[in-house]
Amino acid sequence: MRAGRTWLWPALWTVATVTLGVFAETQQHVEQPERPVMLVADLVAGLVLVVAGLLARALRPGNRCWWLLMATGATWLVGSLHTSTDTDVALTGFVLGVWHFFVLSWLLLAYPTGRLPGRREQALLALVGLLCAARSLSRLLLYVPPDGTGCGCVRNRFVPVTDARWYDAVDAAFPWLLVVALLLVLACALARWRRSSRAGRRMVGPVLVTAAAVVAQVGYDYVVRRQVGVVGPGRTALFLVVVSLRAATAAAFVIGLRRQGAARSAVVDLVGGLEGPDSASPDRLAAALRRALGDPSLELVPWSAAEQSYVEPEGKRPVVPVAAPGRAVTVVEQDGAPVAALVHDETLLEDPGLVGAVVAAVRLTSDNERLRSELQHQLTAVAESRSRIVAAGDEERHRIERDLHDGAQQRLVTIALALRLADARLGSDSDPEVHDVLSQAVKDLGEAIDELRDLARGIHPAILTESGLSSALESLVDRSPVPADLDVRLATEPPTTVAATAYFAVSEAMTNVVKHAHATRVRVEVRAEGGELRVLVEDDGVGGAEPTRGSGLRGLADRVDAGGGTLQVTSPAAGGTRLDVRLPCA
Amino acid sequence: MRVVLAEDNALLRAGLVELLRHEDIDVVGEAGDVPHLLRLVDETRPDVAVLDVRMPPTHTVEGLDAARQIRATHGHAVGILVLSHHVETRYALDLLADGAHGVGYLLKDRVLGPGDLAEAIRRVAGGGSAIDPQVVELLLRRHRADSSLAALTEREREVLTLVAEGRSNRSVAAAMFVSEKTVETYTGRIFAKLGLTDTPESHRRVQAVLAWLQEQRDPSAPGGA
Repeated sequence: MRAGRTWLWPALWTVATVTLGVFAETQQHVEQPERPVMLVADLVAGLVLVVAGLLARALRPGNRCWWLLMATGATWLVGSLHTSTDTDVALTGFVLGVWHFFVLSWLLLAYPTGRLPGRREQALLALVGLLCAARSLSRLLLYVPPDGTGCGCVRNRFVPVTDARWYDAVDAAFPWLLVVALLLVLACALARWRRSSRAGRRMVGPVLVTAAAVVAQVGYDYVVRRQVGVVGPGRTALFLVVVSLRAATAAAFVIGLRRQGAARSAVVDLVGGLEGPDSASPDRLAAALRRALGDPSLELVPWSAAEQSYVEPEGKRPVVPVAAPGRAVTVVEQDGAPVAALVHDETLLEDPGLVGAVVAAVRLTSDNERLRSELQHQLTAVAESRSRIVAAGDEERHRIERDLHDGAQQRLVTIALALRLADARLGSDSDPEVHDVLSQAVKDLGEAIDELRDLARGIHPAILTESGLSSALESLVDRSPVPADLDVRLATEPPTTVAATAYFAVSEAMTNVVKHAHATRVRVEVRAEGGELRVLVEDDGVGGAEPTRGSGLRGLADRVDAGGGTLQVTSPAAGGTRLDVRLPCA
Repeated sequence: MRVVLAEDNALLRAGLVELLRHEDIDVVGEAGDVPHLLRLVDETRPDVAVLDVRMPPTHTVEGLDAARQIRATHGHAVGILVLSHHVETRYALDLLADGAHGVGYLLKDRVLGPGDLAEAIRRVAGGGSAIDPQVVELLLRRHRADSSLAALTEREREVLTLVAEGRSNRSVAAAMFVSEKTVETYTGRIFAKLGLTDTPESHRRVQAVLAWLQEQRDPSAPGGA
């Protein structure tokens, strides 16, 4: 049954049901004085259910609850035919009226989405259907009317048996079975209420209460009163209770539907189910969608931008999602590009709001996942780029150092030597002033060469690349104005960039010790342990160093960070300073 | 005095040849790279091979490798003097690892000081050693805190430095303007304070001093006297 977008079917159905109702109530015996009141009440109960159906359709056009409500009303009025004065009409009501419970059960089980959520509900509805069918058939084929026709009695023209015992057996068992089945339906609805979100409970609550009252009434009427034989309030009073309960049920459904759209509730459940890590994996998303939409056959087919095709969630092989009988395909798009396709029960399409919300949820999830993976990708790229920048910086410093040695320094030595030789060629009979000028020039050049050597060494010590970290640290410590103990334990030479970072860490720390610590002793410890290089520099100075101040330490922290390591400075006042650097060294 | 010179910078090489000629040192062969140097040493059997530490192809420490090869081939027959841009004790100690006999490690700018290079070459040629004063200074700095070194007077420390450079008693005496006898008295006292056995051969003395300086590098080792 597809819900049309027009009001044609609801209108036709309403007219048909009202006609049926009026017809049913005018066909009755009216001997008893309370009869007219009961007839009006009966008609009102049926019509309230129909009106509730119309309201439900107006509230939730895509939700099938509306026609279930109208069908409940129609079957109610069909049952009223039972007491008609016309034998055939009465037989119709007598046989078909019982289906009111089937439709009512369906409505309860399918509420609030209008679809049966799972196999359990389907099985339960089938059971109720079976009971109703048995009752109908027994009344059609096995019923033997008592002698003397009177009010409420049906003369069965098809009757093929004359033995009333068969019918009596069914008649005795049916009320018990019906009550048990209705209790199960109620239990299902209760379970659903327990599973629901707060919003869902607000929808299901009123329906659950009135449904429980209806089941209690049926139990009392069918079992306690008729089977056990307890005599309670009068027939009329009881009947008015029955009618009021139907009206209350109808109202409860409308109120529930009004409170929250089924779509919103399902999407609330969906979004709730999408929290937590790894929620965007196609498997988890599909599972959440199945749960939220009550469609266990739903499939989520992700789109692969690389393959330019939909792909299987498992094997990643390209597939083309196709609609089959009863199955529909909904494509989720983002900025005009497909994100995924949903293959689902086509009844879902009856609720465009729901489908829209689900598509939005899938899009949000995949968007979220895409952003997360993009961010991850960018972070990785940035980390790699930082490492490359550090390595490139090292290489550049090394190159400058070599250029200074092989270029400028070499040339200065050559020039100084040429001046010396020139001075020598002039001999002892030269102008002593010229000799002094040349000697001074050679001396100045010598100092320039010394300065250049220190500068080059500060930029990048050649010994680090030529003899390794251990020798370079030894050389660094040798030059320290503050006496230093060096303890280097390395099985193998660390990678170039790691070695350079360790060297610059010690160098920076030693510079700070000399400048600020007023220390009498420094301890430098470098060791490889557990896949990392640990650098410790401790002094016995005044402490109170601020790691965030000073560009040297900050630059070092950046460098360590770029290599994926950690840097920690502990410097309590008057407690010395301790620099602890850990560098990953795979 | 016959010398083979290896220096890849042609201008500087020419300058050095002229400088040495003034000092009456005969440059019998000039090389711009290690293979050429080794061939010249084999052919000319010089008293000393003077070589730059940085040479083609990588311009890092080819000179040290070449020194090891010459030592391996010619033993102590050919003295080795390495000229370097770096004040690095590691390089000097590597070079002297097999003994201080006929070996020198000098900073390149030492060629500017009058007579420094020539004196170093003569010392190395005579089986002695020549270690750059800046390198010796660094080696001694390590031992600032050692009690045995602290026990030396300033004068004694001055003598120790000159001895560690590889100078003979006569050379030390000349540098300090004292008599050789006085220098002998100093060295006797220094060696006693450091717990070393004195020996008249200067390269053995240098060896002993360097060994002592290296031995003390381990901070956990006892600090001497």
